[in-house]
Amino acid sequence: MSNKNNITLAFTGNPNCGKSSLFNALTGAKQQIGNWPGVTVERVEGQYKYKEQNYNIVDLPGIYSLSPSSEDEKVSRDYVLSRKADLVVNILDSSNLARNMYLTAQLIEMKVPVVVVLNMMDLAESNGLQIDIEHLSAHLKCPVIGVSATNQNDVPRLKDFLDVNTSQLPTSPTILKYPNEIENLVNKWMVSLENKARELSIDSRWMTLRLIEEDQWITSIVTDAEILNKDEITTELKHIKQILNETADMVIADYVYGAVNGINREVVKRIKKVKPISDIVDSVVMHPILGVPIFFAVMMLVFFVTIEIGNYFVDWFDTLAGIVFVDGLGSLLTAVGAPEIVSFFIADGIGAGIQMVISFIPFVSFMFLMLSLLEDSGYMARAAFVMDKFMGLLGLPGKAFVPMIVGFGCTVPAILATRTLDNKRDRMITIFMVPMMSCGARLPVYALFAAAFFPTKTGLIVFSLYMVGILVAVLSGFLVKVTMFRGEPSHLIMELPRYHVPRAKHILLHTWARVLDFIRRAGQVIIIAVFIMSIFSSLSFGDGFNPDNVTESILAAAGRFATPLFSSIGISNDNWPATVGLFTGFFAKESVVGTLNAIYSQLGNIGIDSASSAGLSVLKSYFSPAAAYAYLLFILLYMPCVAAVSAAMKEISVSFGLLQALYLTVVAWIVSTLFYQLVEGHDPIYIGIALGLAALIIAIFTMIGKSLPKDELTA
Amino acid sequence: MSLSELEPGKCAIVESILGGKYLRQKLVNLGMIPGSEVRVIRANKMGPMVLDVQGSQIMIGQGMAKRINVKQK
Repeated sequence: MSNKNNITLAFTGNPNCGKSSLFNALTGAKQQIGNWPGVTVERVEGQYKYKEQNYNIVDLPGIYSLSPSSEDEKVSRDYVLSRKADLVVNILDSSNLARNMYLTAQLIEMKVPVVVVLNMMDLAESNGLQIDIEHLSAHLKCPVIGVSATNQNDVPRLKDFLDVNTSQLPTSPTILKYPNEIENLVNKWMVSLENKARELSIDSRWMTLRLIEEDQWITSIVTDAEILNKDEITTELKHIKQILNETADMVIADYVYGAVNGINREVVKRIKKVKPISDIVDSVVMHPILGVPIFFAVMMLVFFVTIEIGNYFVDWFDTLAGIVFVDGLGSLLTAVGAPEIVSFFIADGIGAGIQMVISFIPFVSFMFLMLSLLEDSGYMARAAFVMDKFMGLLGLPGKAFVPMIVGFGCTVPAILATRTLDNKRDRMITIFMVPMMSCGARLPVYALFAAAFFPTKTGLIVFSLYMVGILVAVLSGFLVKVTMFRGEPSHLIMELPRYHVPRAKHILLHTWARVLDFIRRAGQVIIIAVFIMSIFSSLSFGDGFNPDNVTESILAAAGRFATPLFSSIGISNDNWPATVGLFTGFFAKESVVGTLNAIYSQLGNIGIDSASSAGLSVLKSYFSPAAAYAYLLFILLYMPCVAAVSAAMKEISVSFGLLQALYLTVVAWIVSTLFYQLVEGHDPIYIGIALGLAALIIAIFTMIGKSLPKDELTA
Repeated sequence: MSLSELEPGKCAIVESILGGKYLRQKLVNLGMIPGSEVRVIRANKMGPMVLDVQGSQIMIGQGMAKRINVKQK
């Protein structure tokens, strides 16, 4: 196939086999990072040129096997079966050959052109292992090369090896043998599957074996085409289980391992036994007592970099974007003679939306950077270990702690950080809890109110709000665990990767790709929402378009209309600006302060500039201390800002995002009403309504839980 | 005995796995099939176990370890 202009190679291998390092060494910076259609699995592609030939590498996700029990495995298997790749390049970690060869055996069984690259030969050697490559190649009946990504000469050697094999496209003739009972069934079924296999251009023996393993996809193909019926299949498989005393899929796995272990014994020699350095590090980092403070120190670092350093850049990005997209765009439109209403909606609507998206870039970038560092260094798996027992109480894996910590800074990157979790159920529960970790934008609101109402206990008041947030988050997590997302909690089982120095280029490329993805996905929703809010705040029923008169706007009218809903938390009807503040808080929680400031001052009072004590007294004339605390409780818990809601929508689904926003708002009402009524209002009707709503939430969640398909969540 | 009862430093052979297809598949992927040898590197009741399975380190939660029957060597 050397006449072809472009050759496509599919890179596949176990996680931590050094596949991406090899990929980077071959392709350099020429790579594209995106997503496989319909799933959150990352798709990485890269190109290089060798001897006038263009090579395109598709770097498949790291997997242990091709039995599609995870999205990663499914994507990989579908791609290999699609035959879009001319050659499958199977990369193996030389220091752990036996387990890595399990995947090799499965690839060979598919009867697609495969070559084997033994990676990290240097590491195997320092671990005291000696591998006979020629012998291995003879056993597998497939070309094998040994390389180390650290050795510069190995890159051209590998390119040469791939060049030779793309002109030959070797398919290994090796056939793995199974016990007679299984072989007999293969012979019996293979004939009838022959046509279908040819039609799908897959190997018929492979297809029959997967049918025997009860592979969902193959089984549905066979039964849909009425080649065999379900009962027939079940009867035969039951029969096998009776004879072999084990399910067919386990017997097949056992034989495949048997074969690769046999090869492993023949080609790998252990010369000396070495205790790896990572064992020594682990005895400290994973220590039952020492591990915890180390974990918290690392989390503090993640938080500090994401939020504090991120915050430093936020002002820059925000100001610059404001100058360009709001002021600049506005002046430009005015200069070209656009009517005021047009320039306002474009600049203060769309322009302000773009400004908001841009202002999130620093947080999101630093968070992705820190996450990549944690993952690439190998520490993430240790963090999962340390927090496993604690998070296990909520039915969540230890890794779920990381997004929670990030949530104290900003909810948006925290929602994106749930991508490190393996299954959808864990991600949904975590995303559900994250907004209740009080984000940084809510702090100015707390600070202002606490200073006005509780000047001697400011710190205690703010701290209590954070604690309430955590408490409600834990209760909510528990609630959704026992109602909506029942079913088997995800069990922790994973390989502990070796520590290694994080690869700067790899991390930067991936961080950049993830940030772009965020801008593309969440950006649209944010811009649309900001645009709609700008319409409501600048139009009034009375005198039409008047952006300077917020008190008469549709937004203010809506605020006046909705205020009675909040009388239960101590907001009287003449305090409608407090309700409008909640509306604008939907943009960004910190804008609550600005809104209250603007409306109170337009109403003829002095603005509530936090610095002046005269300003603080304005607040006191509108709120009682208990009402002020209830209002803060509401701000803490009600729906997160538009950016966070859109992130949840894009990460899970639109209905999930809406349900979460609704849940949070209702819970905020329940909690703040209960607080205000118990402390000051003493109205049994409100207390009754609040408790009734809480019961209603539980009932609705239980109902949703019953209607959700179970297996879809854990996959 | 169940894997979760095995003490650090001890070796055992996996005898059987009690669990659904999804769970068994994950174990098979990591080389933990009936007949394979495991060695406990780290274990305490506070968290998951760390095992040596065919030369790689596998971390496994207590809940899952309880569902694996082993025979101590």
